[in-house]
Amino acid sequence: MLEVKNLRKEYGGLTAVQGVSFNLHPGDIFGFIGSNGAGKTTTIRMISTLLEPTSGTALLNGADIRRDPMEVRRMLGYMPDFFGLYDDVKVWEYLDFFAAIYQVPTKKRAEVIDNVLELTDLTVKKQAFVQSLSRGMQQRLCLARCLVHDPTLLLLDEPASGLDPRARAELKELIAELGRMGKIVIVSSHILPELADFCNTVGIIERGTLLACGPVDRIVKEMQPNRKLKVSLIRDGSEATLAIRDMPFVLGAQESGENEISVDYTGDHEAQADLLADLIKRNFRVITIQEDFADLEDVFMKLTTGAVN
Amino acid sequence: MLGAATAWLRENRAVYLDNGTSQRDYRVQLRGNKSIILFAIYLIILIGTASLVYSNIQVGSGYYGGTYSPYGTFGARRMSIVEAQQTLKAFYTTIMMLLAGVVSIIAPALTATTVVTERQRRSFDLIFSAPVTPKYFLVGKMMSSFRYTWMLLILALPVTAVCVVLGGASWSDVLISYLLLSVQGLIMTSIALLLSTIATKAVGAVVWSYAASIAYLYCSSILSFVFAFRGIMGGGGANSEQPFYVALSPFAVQQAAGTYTTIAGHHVPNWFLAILFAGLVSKLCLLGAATLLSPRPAKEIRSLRIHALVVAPLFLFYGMWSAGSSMGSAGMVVPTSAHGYGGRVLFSVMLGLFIIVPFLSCFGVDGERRYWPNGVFSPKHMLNGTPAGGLPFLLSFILINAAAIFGGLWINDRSSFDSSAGMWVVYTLGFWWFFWSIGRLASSAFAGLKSARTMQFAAFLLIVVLPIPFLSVFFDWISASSDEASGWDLYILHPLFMGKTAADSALVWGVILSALALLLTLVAQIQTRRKMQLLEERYVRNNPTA
Repeated sequence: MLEVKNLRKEYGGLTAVQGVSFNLHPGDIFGFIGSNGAGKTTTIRMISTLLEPTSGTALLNGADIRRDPMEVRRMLGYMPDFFGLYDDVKVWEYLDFFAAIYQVPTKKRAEVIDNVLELTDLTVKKQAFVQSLSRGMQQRLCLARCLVHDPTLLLLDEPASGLDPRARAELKELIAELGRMGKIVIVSSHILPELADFCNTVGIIERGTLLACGPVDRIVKEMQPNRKLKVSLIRDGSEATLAIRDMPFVLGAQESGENEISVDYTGDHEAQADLLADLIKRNFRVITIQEDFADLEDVFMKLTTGAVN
Repeated sequence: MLGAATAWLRENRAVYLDNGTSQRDYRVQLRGNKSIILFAIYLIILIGTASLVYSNIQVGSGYYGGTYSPYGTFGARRMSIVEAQQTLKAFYTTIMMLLAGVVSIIAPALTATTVVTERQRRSFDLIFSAPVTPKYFLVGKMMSSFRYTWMLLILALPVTAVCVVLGGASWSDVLISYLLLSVQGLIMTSIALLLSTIATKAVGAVVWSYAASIAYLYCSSILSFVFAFRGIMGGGGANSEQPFYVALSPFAVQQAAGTYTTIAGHHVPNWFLAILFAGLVSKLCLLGAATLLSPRPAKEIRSLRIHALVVAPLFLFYGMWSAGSSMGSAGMVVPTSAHGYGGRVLFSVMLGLFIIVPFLSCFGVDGERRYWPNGVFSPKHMLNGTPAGGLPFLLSFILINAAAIFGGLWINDRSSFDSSAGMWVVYTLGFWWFFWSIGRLASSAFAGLKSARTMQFAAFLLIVVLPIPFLSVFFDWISASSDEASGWDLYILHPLFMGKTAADSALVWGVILSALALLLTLVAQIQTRRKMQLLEERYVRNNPTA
């Protein structure tokens, strides 16, 4: 379990991260969302023990990042937003080097390397030179490097940046698989659709302050407590808008386009079916009526102002 | 207790026997045909040069045993046994000089790029997010570079074996010479590793490493040859009791091989003391590099400063004591007064601080690591690397070293010791406090740590080095060392060159520099406060809720 407690980082007069707190459990895939300069990387670097917090701390399975950084490092895998690859070594040698520095016993290294290569689908490239790999493969190799010591926590800083759609999809699947394996995964990104698919928890950070944190559904629900319906008609949009406003469970209705109505609605699906039946009964020619779900992007845009430190 | 010992053993096993960094570098170094070709070329050059030297000895004509021989060859018995042995010893000396050249060229070149390329590759974050200490990483880098140097020495073994077979040297000579060459290679590797950590570009690292190696070779060779020459003058070259630093020059390994130092009535071989010295220098260099590499350097800074406060005075004490006593025994002129000699030695040795003072005085933004002012003078911060501890550490370092130097001289000659020593101490303290305050002033003017350090370094060059050519044009150099008034009186290092009134001049300069330092410190402090206020205002403006 990861407990982040009031983590704060100040640089003289500038506060890069101010009192960030959250808890994560095994299997959680935490999407850390924020604009460039919001404080994501600083927070991740503090958790990875590469940066000393000004105050606050984080505990990984009881080990404190301030008091016992070496113990924390044994349990985490950190992938920064750059490769940092050694291009003059072979894939297995690269992994062997990291297995050595993570103090994986010499006898077990070959087996561990084979396992992580299989997991990241790089077995065929075991003898290839790192420099000969494609960008997507290099990113997967970086992830394989993070896994050689079987960490509890994975910190992935902008893992999909610069990858093509296929490589991005493969990486997403890999991260989801790691979550299923019971690892805590923190993925930072400012590309929201990238995170929405596989994160079960998110944190939105701006100017060093965590604005929202929790399961994706809950955050979305908190930001949009009422349902939003979108009604499309062939004609008579204005009349239909007036009619809808008087119907039960409707908080408000307005035309959002030509013959398109946006409805703030509190009723359930049964009531929604009645609303449709009522419109048809009144001879409105309805094409579709569908719920307009809010997504992470909407939540992010609503919460943040775009300011950076 | 047992748990701590086990952890220590486990850590050291990982660092020295199962070092991933070293293994990775080793694989890369020996990959492909490159290394084989390089080794082949190296051997061809070595054997070729040795053959040339040997054939020159064999066929060269000249005077042998007082008789001119047009043939020259000792194979044809035109040379006496003694002459032949001397000639073969010269051959052995040439081979060892050649190997010294190899070590001096290869060790800095191999090491200089090792850390800086990791920085350029941005792989430090990957390494230091693993349970790895800077020690593990740096020892690995050192082992991989040093191993390559050692491989070159081992490859030369057949050539040195020829010297043994021909009678120019014994196996023990070869063994001790190899040991000394290794020790000197280790020192140059450590220095290059430190400079590789400081440098931001590979070319800069190589240039600085070579400059440092040349400086090391220059100083160690001067020391070695001065004492070798002194031995010849004093006892016809047979004097084996010499200070250990004769064993520090790679170009004098065979002269130093048989020398010893008497400690508490025991003859301690100088190669053994050289190993100890190399170990301490390596440790200091590694600690210096570790403070720059570590994401949380407090522990390394503390260790480095404690080592510096202990090791430097120890060596200076030994140096002063051994120089005084051995000079006397060799019939050389012993310094007539402690203040005339020790004061100059103190100031000259402390001049090396120009590399360290920017790290003690400057603060500001350095990439992600930020050093913020936490006061001007706080002895409790002396060992933790924060700006408030810089000045107390600097002054303590100078005072402890002054005590070591004058203590070493005092043991040899108690009569010539007087209060003038204190004047030199005031001068040295004032000089470095002045440069420390320039660093503070530069830090209060610039946001970047690097800019402040560069400014301070530039100020040092401007004040210490630049006046020399200008003053030389207008004033005779001889007037610099006389007690008569001249333009040289305005030169900051003038007391070093003066004669009888040097100590008085040192005191005057010390007081002037201390006053200037006080003024600059006050200005820097006011400017720093203003700067911090501006930062605070910006912080409040950016964070209205704070």
